[in-house]
Amino acid sequence: MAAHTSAEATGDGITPDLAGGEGVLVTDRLVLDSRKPAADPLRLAGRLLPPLVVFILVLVLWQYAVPAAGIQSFQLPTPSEIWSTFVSVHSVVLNYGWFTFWNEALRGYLIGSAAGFLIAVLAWRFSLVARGVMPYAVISNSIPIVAMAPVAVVLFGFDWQSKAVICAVMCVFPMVVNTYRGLRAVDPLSRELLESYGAGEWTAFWKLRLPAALPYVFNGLKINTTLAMIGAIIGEFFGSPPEGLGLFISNQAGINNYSETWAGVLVACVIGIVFYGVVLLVERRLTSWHVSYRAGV
Amino acid sequence: MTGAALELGSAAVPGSRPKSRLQGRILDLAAIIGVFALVVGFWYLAAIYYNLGSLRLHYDDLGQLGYWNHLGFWRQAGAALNWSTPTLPAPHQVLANLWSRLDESPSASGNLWVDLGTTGSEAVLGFLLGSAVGIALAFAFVKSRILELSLFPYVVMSQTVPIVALVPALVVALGLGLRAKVLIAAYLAFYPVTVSAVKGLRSINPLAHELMRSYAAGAWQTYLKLRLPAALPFIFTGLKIGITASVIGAIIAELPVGSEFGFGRAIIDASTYGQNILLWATIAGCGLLGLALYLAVVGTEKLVVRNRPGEV
Repeated sequence: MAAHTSAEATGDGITPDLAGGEGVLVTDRLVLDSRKPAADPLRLAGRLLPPLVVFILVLVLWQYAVPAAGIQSFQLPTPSEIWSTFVSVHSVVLNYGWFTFWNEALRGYLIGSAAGFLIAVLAWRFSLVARGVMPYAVISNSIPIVAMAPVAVVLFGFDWQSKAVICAVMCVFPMVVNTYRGLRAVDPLSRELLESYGAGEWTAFWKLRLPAALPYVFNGLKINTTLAMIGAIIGEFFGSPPEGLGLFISNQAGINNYSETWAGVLVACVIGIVFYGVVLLVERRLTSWHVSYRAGV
Repeated sequence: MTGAALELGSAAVPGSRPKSRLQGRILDLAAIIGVFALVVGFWYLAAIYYNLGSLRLHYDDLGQLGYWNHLGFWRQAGAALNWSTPTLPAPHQVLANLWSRLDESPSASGNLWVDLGTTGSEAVLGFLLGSAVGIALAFAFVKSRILELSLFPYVVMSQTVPIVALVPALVVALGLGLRAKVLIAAYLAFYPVTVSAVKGLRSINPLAHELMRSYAAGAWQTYLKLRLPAALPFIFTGLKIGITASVIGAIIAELPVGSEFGFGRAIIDASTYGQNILLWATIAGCGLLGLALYLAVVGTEKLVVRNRPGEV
């Protein structure tokens, strides 16, 4: 689905090779045009200001409009209540958050994503693997794997390992499907070019297929950050060591300590955002050539 | 770019050049059955491994360890695969449980059809709501840079909220009924749709974009004739993830007490009382529901993406 594949242009009645060639030229120019000065403080402020404004707006509304609308603090505590609770329990909540992220979400994420990537590469390289595995990978994507969280706790115990297993299992299949699709989404023209250079299959893999697949790979990686956090927190619902953030959140909600609950939710949010943000940064660095990151489109 | 090129099914695996269509089909079938047999075989081995240990403890508790040791491996393994309270039930036990729950009277809470209908309707309604919101958001983001800059971080943030922990609070605000579950399902479903649709609406051929501009096409024409068709495959990728996400949302929304029927409730019951056969059968039911809804979206994709004019 790289936007400059020839197939798209054939719809407009242009011959594939010509369209592909021109497409490459045009896109190169676009990339050069949109290259911006690095670390321009004004640009940075322009990027940071809008979300900040929304953030402050929401906080103000939450603080003053929610109580005014008659919503009780046990239904939805105000930000100031949540913040003061967070300040008083921050060392506990931050430690719990780090435990859940580092042991469960991150390990599961890395293992699951790596396994998914490897399976996709195997499926691309060996058609028999693709024939056997891809139908199941597609099917597995449609199955709510998080429902298996209690089973993982039964089989792998109450400690963090069972939650890491759930996160890993949840992360495998989005990665398989996205990577496999990406490895196949190659401009036929570029492949022919490499073939005409006498490049072998693995050279083509490193120089063409892998870079072309990166936007898809990162699509999977970004989806997986969310899945890993959900898996860790829901897994802890069915049994966890006391340091689990998900356990803390559900326990506090169970005894109606809603501002403690929200303090835990705050930590979970921050972890999730930083996690996603790091993956996004890596993606922007590695796939800055992709059409979706170019200005003017 | 065509619908066919996006097929992930077994039919079109590139790089392999079977001599005939029939040969390709046979290879497909053999590979699929082979992987299936591997998984089932591994499952049986794992079931023997896990249940032998707990059966041994069980007989030790009864003071009949001598009898148990006297049985020999094969009869022990047979017992491990047919135990009524296994740690890891064998596949045939799960199937038998599923089969028996198809027959139970419709009013019983253990009935599979009732669970399917309850969780299924929550998931479908949530999916429809969530994907409508998701696509609308994506259009807004592509149309307005300032909206994207100010709201997209929060779209991402929204997904990291462990919604299951908030469900008790949401139930206080929204009530025990369908509404809370549909909203939670929609909440999980909209995110993949938004992300994919934004990416899709941006992934247009720059040449085609310039062509539209040179025709003096308006913004709406560009959207309808260029961006939307280019985005459809991406959007359907998001929808296919979204439908599963909404099933997940419906299930986790049922986890807290207060649900009468549904798979989430069945999972909680089974895991609380250690009924592992029921637990696995319920998980299988969740899988069947997810699969059925997913196939419905795939069918829609085939209809919509194939019928596009001007595409190969």
